Amino acid sequence: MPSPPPGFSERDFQAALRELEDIVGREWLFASDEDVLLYRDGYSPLWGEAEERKASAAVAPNSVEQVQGIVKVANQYGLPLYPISTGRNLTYGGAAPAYSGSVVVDLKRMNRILDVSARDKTCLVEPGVSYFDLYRHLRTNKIPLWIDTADPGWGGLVGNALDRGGGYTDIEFRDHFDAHCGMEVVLPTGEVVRTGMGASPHAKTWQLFKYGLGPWVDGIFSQSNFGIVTKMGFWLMEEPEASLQVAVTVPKRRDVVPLVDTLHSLMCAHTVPSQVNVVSPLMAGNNAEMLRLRGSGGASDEQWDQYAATAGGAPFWAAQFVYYGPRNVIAAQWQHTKDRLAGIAGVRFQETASYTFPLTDEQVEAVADKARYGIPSLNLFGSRTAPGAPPLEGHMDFSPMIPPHGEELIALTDFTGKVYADQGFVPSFVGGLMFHPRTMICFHAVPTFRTAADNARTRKLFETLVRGCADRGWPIYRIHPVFQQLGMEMFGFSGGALHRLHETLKDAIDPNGIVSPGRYDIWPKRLRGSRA
Amino acid sequence: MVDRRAFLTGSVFAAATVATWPTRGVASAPKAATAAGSPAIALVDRSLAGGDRVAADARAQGFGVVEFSGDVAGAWMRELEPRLRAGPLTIVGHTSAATLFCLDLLARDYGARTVQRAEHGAAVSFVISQRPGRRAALAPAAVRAQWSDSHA
Repeated sequence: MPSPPPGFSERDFQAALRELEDIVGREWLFASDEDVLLYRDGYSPLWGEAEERKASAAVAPNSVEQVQGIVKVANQYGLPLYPISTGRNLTYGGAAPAYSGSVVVDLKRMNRILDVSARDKTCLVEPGVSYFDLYRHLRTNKIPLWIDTADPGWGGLVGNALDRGGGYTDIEFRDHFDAHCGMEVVLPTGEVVRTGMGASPHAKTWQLFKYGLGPWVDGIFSQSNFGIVTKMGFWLMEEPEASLQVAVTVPKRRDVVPLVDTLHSLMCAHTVPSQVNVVSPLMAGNNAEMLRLRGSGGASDEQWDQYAATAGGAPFWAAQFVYYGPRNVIAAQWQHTKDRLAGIAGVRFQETASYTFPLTDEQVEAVADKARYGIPSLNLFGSRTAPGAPPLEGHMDFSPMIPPHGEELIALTDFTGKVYADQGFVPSFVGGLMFHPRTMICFHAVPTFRTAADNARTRKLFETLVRGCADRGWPIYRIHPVFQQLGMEMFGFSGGALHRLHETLKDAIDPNGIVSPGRYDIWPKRLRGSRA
Repeated sequence: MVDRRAFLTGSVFAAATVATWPTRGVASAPKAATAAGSPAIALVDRSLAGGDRVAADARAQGFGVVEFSGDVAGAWMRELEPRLRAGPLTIVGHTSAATLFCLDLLARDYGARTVQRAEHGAAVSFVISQRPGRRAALAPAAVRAQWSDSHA
């Protein structure tokens, strides 16, 4: 049997589990080794080590009342809980708790789509609703609305939004937390609150107006442990008449500066509506000279451009994005984009996909870049390794955030390439992804393994990246639970005043410290200093 | 219900195992699985070399065949997840290893797991089966009932 939470006697733990079983029913309390394995982080950088974060049990409620009952029992026993919606965000910890011994509150059974308004373009969902579920609902019922899905698309709307994940369509929808409108939360005391207009019992605008009256508190429930969100509203995108996916390539390394400046300007002017990827096809793959240049951390523009000249015509940088809307508007937006970028010598423009909506099932299957059209996909897994290459055990995402400036992207690429190489790793493929309107997130894959020695290397790499990038002005926007303490250290202005505020709120909202202890390094008073 | 013990001892799959599917045909897998009380479907990635032949073999052996090309998400949403939710179900697959990785993880929530797999170059053949003893948040009533019976 899994170990009880630290400080718990087996007797008290079993008594608490029996009470949880009384609430949810025998079938929905999972406490055997085999069942609890479902909640292990298969990509853990602490795999098999004593410090690996593991659940002690899991419980799967199907109603708000059952969640309240679970919280009541947890308060009675001091039982740490760890709510998850679908728990499939593998590169940020999956379903495993931040604090070992926590009981996972698995909210997948709360998977009701409570409302979809085609007229208002909104939905209200429970935390177990996956992107698959909502996409299928809209499609089956021929509702002309799009979701904005994470990629891979097997996660859930609520969990991804609360962790501040991102997507690919219009700016109003692809910042998933920003796209929410109203939530219902079971507080650690068991009280149920609704935010925004939902606090007004007869309001007709819960999913239409975010703020309600008084302080807007929704933000404190993201990347935190201040409650269990049981409902969340979202704004959905009206299906456009058409779309045009394009690629813009430039030949030289320094061309990324005007490329990004111009695209950022066009995004801010709402000419380019979608998420913009800026990647370097030239820096992908495993060419030895390319890896040497990346690992040097300081190769000059001339050295890189010399390498580019030998690389068979691959462009140094490529940007990809999509226009959505009426065809004539798209044509004007695309022409304006080309006019603005025409000053970059050697720039090339390519139309890569054009659709008229709605798509048939056959057309949906054939879409190459599904997430850009609100279609959940699992294609990303097929691209994790080259054909025939040995599979990675797993990886964590290292996600520094930079200003949308080409110089910063170059400097970041230089720095992280050298860190990887110095520590004996092949540098990660890097791109600048403009999920948000005024920043780029530069995802790096940091491999994880099933051996302690290899994982010790990977943890050192990860820490070096986190600290080094923060020192250079590129802190992360999100981080694996094993590194959340480190992550919050990087936000230590004024002696860690922000972190102290988080824990002040924790003490007020969760006096017994039962919800997700340690998540984003927010510890309840009784566990402060004990860490994981 | 096809469980690991039955699969490995051959008491369910009387003749050739699914592990040999791509080279020796599907044999009696669908009939045997149905006889054991668990409907079976074949899942084939037609983008893999030989995928069309494997699908044809499966069809000839009486399988209902779900085909897809590369990305299994659509097949999951339309075919696999609704059937697992209603369960029990056995999925006999011929896909990439990446697809199996996804399916195995997704199916766990429905009380299912991979009970057999074999590599065939770029492809992998496998059996995913719901079975008593594996409880999960979305396991269907029939599977839960078997769990309750066996643990009463």
